[in-house]
Amino acid sequence: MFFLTIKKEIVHNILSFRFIVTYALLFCLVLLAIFLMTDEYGKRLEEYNRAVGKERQWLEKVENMEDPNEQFQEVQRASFVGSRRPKNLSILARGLEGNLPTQVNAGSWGRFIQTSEDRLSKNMLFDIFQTPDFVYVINIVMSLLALLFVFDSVCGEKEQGTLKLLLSNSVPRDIVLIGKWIGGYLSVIAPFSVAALGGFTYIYISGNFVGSNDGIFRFFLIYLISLLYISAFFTLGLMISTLTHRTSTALLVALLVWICWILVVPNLSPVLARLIAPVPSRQVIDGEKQAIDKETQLLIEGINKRKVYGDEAEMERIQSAADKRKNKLEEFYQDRMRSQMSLSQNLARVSPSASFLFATTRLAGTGPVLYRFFQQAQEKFSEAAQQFQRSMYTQDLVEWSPQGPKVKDPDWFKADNLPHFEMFEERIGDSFNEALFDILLLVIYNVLFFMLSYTFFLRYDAT
Amino acid sequence: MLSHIIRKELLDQLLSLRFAIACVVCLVVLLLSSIVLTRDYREAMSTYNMNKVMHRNDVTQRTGVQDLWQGVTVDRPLNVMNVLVRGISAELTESVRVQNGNRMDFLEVYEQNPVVPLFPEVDFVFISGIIMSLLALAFSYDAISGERESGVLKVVMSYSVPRDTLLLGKWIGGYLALIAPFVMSFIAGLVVMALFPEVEIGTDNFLSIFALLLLALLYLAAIYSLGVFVSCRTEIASTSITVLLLVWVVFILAIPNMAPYFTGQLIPAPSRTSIDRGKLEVQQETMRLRQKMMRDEQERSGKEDVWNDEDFQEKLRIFHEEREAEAQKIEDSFMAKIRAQTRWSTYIARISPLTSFNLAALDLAAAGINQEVHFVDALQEYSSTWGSYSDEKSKAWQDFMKERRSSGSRMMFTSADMEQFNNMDYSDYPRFTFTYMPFKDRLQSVYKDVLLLGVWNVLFFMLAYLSFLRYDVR
Repeated sequence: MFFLTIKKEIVHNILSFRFIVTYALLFCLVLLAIFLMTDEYGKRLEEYNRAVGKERQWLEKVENMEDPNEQFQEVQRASFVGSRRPKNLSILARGLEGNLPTQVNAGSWGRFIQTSEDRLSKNMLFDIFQTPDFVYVINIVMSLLALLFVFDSVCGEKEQGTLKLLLSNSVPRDIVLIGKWIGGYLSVIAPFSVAALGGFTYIYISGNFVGSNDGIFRFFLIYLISLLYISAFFTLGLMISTLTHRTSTALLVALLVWICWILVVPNLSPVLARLIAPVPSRQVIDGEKQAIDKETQLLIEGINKRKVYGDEAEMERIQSAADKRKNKLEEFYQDRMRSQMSLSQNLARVSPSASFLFATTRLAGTGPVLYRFFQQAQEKFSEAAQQFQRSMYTQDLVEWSPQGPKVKDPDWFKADNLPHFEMFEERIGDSFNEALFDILLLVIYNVLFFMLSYTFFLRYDAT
Repeated sequence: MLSHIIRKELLDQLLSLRFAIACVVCLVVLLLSSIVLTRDYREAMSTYNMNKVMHRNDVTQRTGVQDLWQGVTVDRPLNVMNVLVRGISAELTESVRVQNGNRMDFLEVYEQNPVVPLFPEVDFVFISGIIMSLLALAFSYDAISGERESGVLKVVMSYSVPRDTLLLGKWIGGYLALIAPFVMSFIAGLVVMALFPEVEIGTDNFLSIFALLLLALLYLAAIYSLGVFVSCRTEIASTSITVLLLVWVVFILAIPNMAPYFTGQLIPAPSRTSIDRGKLEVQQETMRLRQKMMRDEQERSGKEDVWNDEDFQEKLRIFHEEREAEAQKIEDSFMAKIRAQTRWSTYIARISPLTSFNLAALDLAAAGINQEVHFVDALQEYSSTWGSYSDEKSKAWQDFMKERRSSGSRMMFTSADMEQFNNMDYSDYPRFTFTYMPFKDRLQSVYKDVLLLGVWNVLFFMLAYLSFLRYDVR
């Protein structure tokens, strides 16, 4: 009976109009999203390779210089610029990939300047609309389609009278519900899986997974999380169907829940977090730091004017007190920022949509953690560049003459010693561990909705 | 008869569950959005005021003539319309360092809450464009097919009522029921905003808010007409909602979001970085060629100080102009591609009524693409004002340097020399003023999109009418 119920549900869905339309729509949307994002990633990768190529060319040029003095001058003049490699999984989940600069100047120390040309020389429609990547299609479109497939699975059958007939047989209600769930869910994920397979084939053929299996595994994990997410919405739709007795009511309730969970809750959460846990702007913190510097400068100037013995220690004390105050200010800022971030994430997690987004972007390496890795890499790069430039003068490398620097050791230059911008690459196991909390939340949503549907269906009036 | 049909339709909708749902959704979302965005605006206002004072003090406390070369940091005044429409700027406040020669540096710090860019802002544009459009479909999907299924349509048509009157009556009644909770919640949102003393709405902005509401109503009318049209083409309400949701996914979610990427494929443009690299190569080549020219000239004339030769100076000037024109050509061709890309992606995206609504709403709120260009223009103008001011202030210094140079003395300065140049007063420096586009200009920039929305309305209604004329009511 169980298999018969599943078969009946699958056949019913497959023969329906919505199945054909959903199949066509999903196939087009998923493939188009992957096709457009692959192309966009290709352009960014090409840009990155060009920048790295230029860097390599410069290194070769410096290495091949015969005169070590000229070599020294060339390195002295150089401003170190690092390039950020785009993440290949940004094809599936763009996340914050487009919000960070692709080039990092070692001297910028976290400050990036955009000129008026940079600002206007882009297609501004990108700023107005969202990125239509694979995760977006699943998050928004697939959740809606899952509800559309299931909203009438119980109440619709009641309206038609087939539920009464079905339950008049010796079939337990739990079997009917599970059969309906499995049959319906399989008919939803079938078109999705075919589309995902098509997308995977395209990415694979275009050579974006070449070199390691890491990308393939991550793709597979994102696919599994997508199945879990679709299942959560499918089960929610089933629950709504067991709660209502008319299809029109079920549809409206499902739409209301979808609007709240997909469009309102996750999108409002960062703004709400900003209000509940406000963080002063970076400019305010910098202003405070400048005020401390000015105050310290005035105090030191005052001491300098007095010119009394022992004032050097006093000056040092003032300077270190100022540094301490500035560090405290920075710590305060970072603490507040962290708490705001975690609050906005937790508020957004009230919706499965946010959990899905956090889990998939974590696996793709383009989630909120990308900011942290970027900042760490950039700080490391700036420090390394500073250290390298300092070492050029402090290691007794050159003799200064009116004709310019004279390098003592002709083999002083080693390309490996130059600063490199390298971002931390999280291992797949670590990414999965970090995403586990959100995956668990999705599982809880699934179980909760199914349990509720089961409870409601047990008491459902089929007549 | 028309008024009877309108009344019946209105009563039907008012007593339905969807009306209750629409009331709850509109009220909660619009009120919440108003409160959140207005409080955000208040926070931004205090940051803006603080920044303004800080940046003013930064200039007025300078005393050295060389401090002029640092330029001046100015702040973009807050746009009160941001309490409704967040627009394309990432932040409400923005500081820009302006220097001589149209050089503007927009400072960007990547230290914000990284969760924020992951989600779109829930503002008036988002609520009307996405949420309300979905509700419009929920109100209209069964307007005809639903009544056919329940048999009511057959009964109504048995009376002597023309089909056009029936369709018009249904349209008006249903549409009024849809917009009633929306308009009421919008007014409630405005009342909430008015409670905040920081929100000062002038005449221009008041008119813009009114125009925004009308625009949203026009957009919703187009989507509602689409719903009625599909309802006239189908016989079962469930088929109607399936088709409508799929059309909604394609027209509201897919087309506008995919259009810029799709255009990127059709009209590829290089990145800004590669263009800058190309221009840098031209500059480096210019320097190399210039040195070569100097050496050749020195060899030819047998003199060291060839740069004093007027003919050679003229030759150098022409050479520099040619090279600059070459660099400019790279920039111009790039900008032409970007403009073409933007233009075509706007055309493609306008297949969806959402694009017309979004672009028009952003321009009406002075928070869109036109405003961005207007702001950069104002900064460029200010850059030349600042340039004239710093030229005037540093005139004495320039004269002093010229005199030193012409007398052939060494470029070493004593503190006595520098005294007059280290006690400058910059309290009279020109202040940056920026006003958002007046209402008239905003209207002018949106008329195309408004017209397009009007066309969508007429088209969908005409199609619905044609379909209903041949509709089998049995």
